[in-house]
Amino acid sequence: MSDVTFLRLLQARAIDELTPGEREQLDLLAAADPRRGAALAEWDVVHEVLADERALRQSLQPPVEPIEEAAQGFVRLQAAAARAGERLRSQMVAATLPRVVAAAPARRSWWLAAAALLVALSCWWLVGRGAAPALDPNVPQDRRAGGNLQLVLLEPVLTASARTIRWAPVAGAHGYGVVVVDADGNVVLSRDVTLQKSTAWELTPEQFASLRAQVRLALRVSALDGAGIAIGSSGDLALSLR
Amino acid sequence: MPSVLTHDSAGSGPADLLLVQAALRGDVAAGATLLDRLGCIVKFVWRLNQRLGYQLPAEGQEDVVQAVYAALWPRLRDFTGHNALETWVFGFCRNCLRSEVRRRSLHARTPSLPADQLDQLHPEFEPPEDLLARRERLEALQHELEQLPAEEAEAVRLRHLEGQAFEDIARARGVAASTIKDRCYRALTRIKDRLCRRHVGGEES
Repeated sequence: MSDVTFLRLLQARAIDELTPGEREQLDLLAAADPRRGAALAEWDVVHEVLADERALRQSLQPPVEPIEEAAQGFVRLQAAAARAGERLRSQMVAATLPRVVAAAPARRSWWLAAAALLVALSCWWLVGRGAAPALDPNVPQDRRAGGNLQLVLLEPVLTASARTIRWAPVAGAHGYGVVVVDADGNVVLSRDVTLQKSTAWELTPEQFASLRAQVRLALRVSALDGAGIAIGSSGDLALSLR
Repeated sequence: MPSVLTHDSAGSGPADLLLVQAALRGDVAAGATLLDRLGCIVKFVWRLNQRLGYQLPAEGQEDVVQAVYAALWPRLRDFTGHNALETWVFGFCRNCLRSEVRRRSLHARTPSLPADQLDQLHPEFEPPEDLLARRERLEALQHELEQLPAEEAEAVRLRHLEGQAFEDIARARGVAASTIKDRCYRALTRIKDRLCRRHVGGEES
C-alpha cells in the first residue's frame, strides 16, 4: 500500500470521516511505519480533545438539579446573578428611554450651569470650525451612541393651519424618536412609533390644541440606527405655537 | 441539531438575535425574557468550576458571574445570531472563569481536595493529575479555537463540537459540503500543529 493511500485515509481521519474498515486499514499502514504511526497519533490526540470538549458541553446541558439548587454556593451565585441582572436591566432601560426626568430641585441650578456651558462650547465649536457638526458615518455606532446631533428644524413655528413639524434628515439615521416636552422637561406628547422613519410629524387638531395651552415647549428628537437604537439626541429645541 | 448548550426554551440564533435587538430597543417583555435566558450563566459557571476542577471559592464564582454580566452589556450589540444565545454566553463564562482563576493564581495548582470530596464534585472521579492534564488540553483547544478565522472556527464548532452533518452545515450557509470539509481540515490542522507545539515546547501562542 502506498503513501498516497495512507495520506488519503489520514485526511479522512483528520475530519473524522473514516468508516470502521478504513480505520482498520489506516491502523495497519501506521503500524508498518513509525513516522506514519506518529502522524496518526497526532490526529487521534486532536479528536480526543474534541471529544472531551463535547463531553464537557454535554455535561453542562441538563437542567439544574435539586441538589445543586440546595447548595449554599449555588444560592449565592443566583443572588449575585440577580443583582447583576438588575444592573443589566437598568442599563438597557437607561440606554433607550428618552431623558424625561427633570433634575432634582436642589441640583437644577447645577444642571442649568452645565447646560449653559455646553451651549457655549457648541457655539464656539460651530463658529471656530465653520461647519455644522454631523454624525460621522465612519465612526462606529456604539461610539456615537448618546452623542449630540445638530438638528435643523424646518418649521419651528406651528399654527392651527400648519401643524406639521419638519426637520432635515440626519446622516446615518434610519429613523427618529420624537417627543414634545414642557418647560420642566416632562414629555407631554410623543410621536407614534409607526411613523418612526418620517422626518415630519403632523399634529392632529386635538394635539395642537392641547399643546397650545402650554407656556413653553421644546422638541426633542433622537436619531435611531437600523436596529432602532439611539445614536444621538438633538437636545431640546424651542417650539412655538401660534 | 440544536446546540448542546441550549435548553428547551432557547430559540435559534436568528430568533435570539431578534430577542436581543428588541431588548436593546427597550421592549420590556423582550428584556425580561433575555434576563431569564441569561440565568444559564449561574449553571455554566457553577458546573464549569466543578467539571474542570478549578476549585474557585464561592466569592470567586460570584465575581465571575458579575464579570460575565458586565462583559455582556457592551457586547450585546455585537451578538450576530450565528449561535444560540446560550452558546454565545458560554464563551463569556469560560473566559471570565479562566481569567478569575488566573487572577487568583490557582490555575497552576494541582487539585488537592480529598478523593471523597472530588468524587462528590465530579461524579466520575478522575485522578487529580488526569483532571489537570485534561483541563490544560481543553484550555489549549479553546485558546486555539479563538485564534482561528471565524468561518473555520464556526465549521469546527458546528461539526466537531455540536455534531451537525457537513451537508446540513453547508446547506444552511449556501455552500458546498466540500467547502465546509476544507474549512474543518484547515482549522484542525492548525489546531493539531499548535497542540503538538505546546506539548513539545510549552509554547503559549
